[in-house]
Amino acid sequence: MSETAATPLVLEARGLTKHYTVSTGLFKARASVRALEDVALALAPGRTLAVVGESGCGKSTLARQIAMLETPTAGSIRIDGVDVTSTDAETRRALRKTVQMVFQNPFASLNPRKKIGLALEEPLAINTALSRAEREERGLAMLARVGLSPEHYRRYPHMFSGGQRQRVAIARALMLKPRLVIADEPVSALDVSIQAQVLNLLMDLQESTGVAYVFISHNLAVVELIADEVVVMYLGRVMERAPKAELFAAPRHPYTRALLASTPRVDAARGEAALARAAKSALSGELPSPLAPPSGCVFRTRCPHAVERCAEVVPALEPAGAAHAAACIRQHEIG
Amino acid sequence: MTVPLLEVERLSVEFGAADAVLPAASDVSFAVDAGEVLGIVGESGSGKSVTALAVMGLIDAPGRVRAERLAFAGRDLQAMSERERRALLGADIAMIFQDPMTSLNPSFTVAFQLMETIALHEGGSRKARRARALQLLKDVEIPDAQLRLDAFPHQLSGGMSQRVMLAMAIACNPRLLIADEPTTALDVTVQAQMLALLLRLQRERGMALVLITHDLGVVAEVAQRVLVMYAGQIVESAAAAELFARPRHPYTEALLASLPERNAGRRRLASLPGVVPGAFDRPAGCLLAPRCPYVRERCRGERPALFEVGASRVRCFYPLGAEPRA
Repeated sequence: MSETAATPLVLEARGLTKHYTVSTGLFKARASVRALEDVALALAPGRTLAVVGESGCGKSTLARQIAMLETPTAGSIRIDGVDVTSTDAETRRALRKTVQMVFQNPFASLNPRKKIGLALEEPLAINTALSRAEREERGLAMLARVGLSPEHYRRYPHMFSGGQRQRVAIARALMLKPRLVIADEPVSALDVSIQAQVLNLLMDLQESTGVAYVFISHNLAVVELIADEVVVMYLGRVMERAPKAELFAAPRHPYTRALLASTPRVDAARGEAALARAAKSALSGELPSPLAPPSGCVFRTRCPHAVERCAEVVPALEPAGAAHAAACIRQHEIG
Repeated sequence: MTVPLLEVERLSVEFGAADAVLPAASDVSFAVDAGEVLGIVGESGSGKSVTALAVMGLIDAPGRVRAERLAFAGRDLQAMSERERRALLGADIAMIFQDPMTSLNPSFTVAFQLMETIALHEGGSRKARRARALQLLKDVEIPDAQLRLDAFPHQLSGGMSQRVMLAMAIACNPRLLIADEPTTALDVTVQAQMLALLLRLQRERGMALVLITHDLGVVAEVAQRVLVMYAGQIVESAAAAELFARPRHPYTEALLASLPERNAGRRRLASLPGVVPGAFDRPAGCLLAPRCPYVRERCRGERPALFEVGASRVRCFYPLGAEPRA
């Protein structure tokens, strides 16, 4: 995408592929789930890359590969220029500090038996040689930055609301001053008014710390607000990739268009008209099984524009603009 | 004037011991007309689900339900015997829930569960019930309906399970369908299919639909009239177009303002400070007072009632764009 850019990329993935072997039954042969197939990404420091898609599209698998929680089946991931898939354990351990995660469910991602302060200090205790007092000082400072007060430091997670817990989870992710935070549906479990507070916090923190985000979400309205660039995924493959403004103004891939049309909006035409609009690019059917993805284009079974050719070739990501690419062989025909 | 299909007056639902009462819903009054689509929006803990459960008689002790009037098609639900009420619920009033995966019994096939519902309310021979079950699956647009009849719930996707729940709900041709977050667990493209299906069934069958959701976008696309709930109370009730164009209650205004789509081009979202009051820190006056940007002295000491403002009703002494209440 921006390989010629002057600033080095904080994250670069090429040909990223992850297959899981699963059992399909006691006496049946093992099958392979193609969770990620040939995914390429690039992200510059201080920027936000949104990964959009529905359940089963591979977005959380992608997060686990980037966070070095799993080893990809094929392909490379570079964090700050270092290839994590081929480096030694020592370097990987050092790199782990620069990549942190925030998860969707703040009720499950905090240990209920640990006070908030301890949760914040733990990354420092493991990764740094700071003294206890220094760790507490940093923990308290971080707590203030995410909008919580010092008295919260000695409380347990159950004493917090969902929005407050997500603030704690964000604070914990930032304790080691990471270069990259992977946020996997960070506001999906929150109410709208709380969602706005947490999104504001994420944006403020990016401005002050220069951290880069991989922001995984199914909510296009949120993505439109927070992202710089967007990658749309379907069944483990990238369907389209573009700068935010371009993706929302001129989506090329039929799947992106369907996603945009399906998203309910307050200010869209109401009732019949809205549904007619959605029906026009609506998708029939549901996601095919990732155990047996369709041949050729994985989206063709639900695509309103599919033709016979779509079953034959796997469409490559073809340029549709300067930094815009879509994986559809008919993208120029369907206009 | 015709009698509304559902009348709810001064409904309150309480949980907890007598000395530590948690009012989950209080002073909730609304009516649903035949064939109408009513949206109820609110955040978690706003009392929207509890209101629906109370109407369905699904609040068990120690929960306490009180209402001045709770009537369906003019018949008083509270005065009815348990038997009469059960015959009405599930037949004339049906409900579907948020999580289709846990609403179906995992040990029985789709056909068995559908036929059970039909047997309970309509009867008929086994063969007739099976044929009816198949027709219902076709009505909710399940592909390969014949094959799905003998499927177990774990063999169905989330969207498919929700369609089966819907088939069960419409099995007895209800006059009112209450759908509690019916699309929240579904992916957005499947959600669009589901909403279109709900509206088609509502229109074709002349059924009234109460759609409970936290998603303002869904309400905007589907509902004709909207109730906004906050901390157990209705704070605004208005026609959908009016509500989204001219919110009268500060909470409605703040909800709309915090939507990312209303903040295009801005770097920060407008957001309401603080959180919804809990059970034990409820303010003495207006429940929104601690978070309200327009709060005045009166709001802190006195609880506003639902006032008429034009064709809308607003629980605020100082409704936006209207004369303050005396």
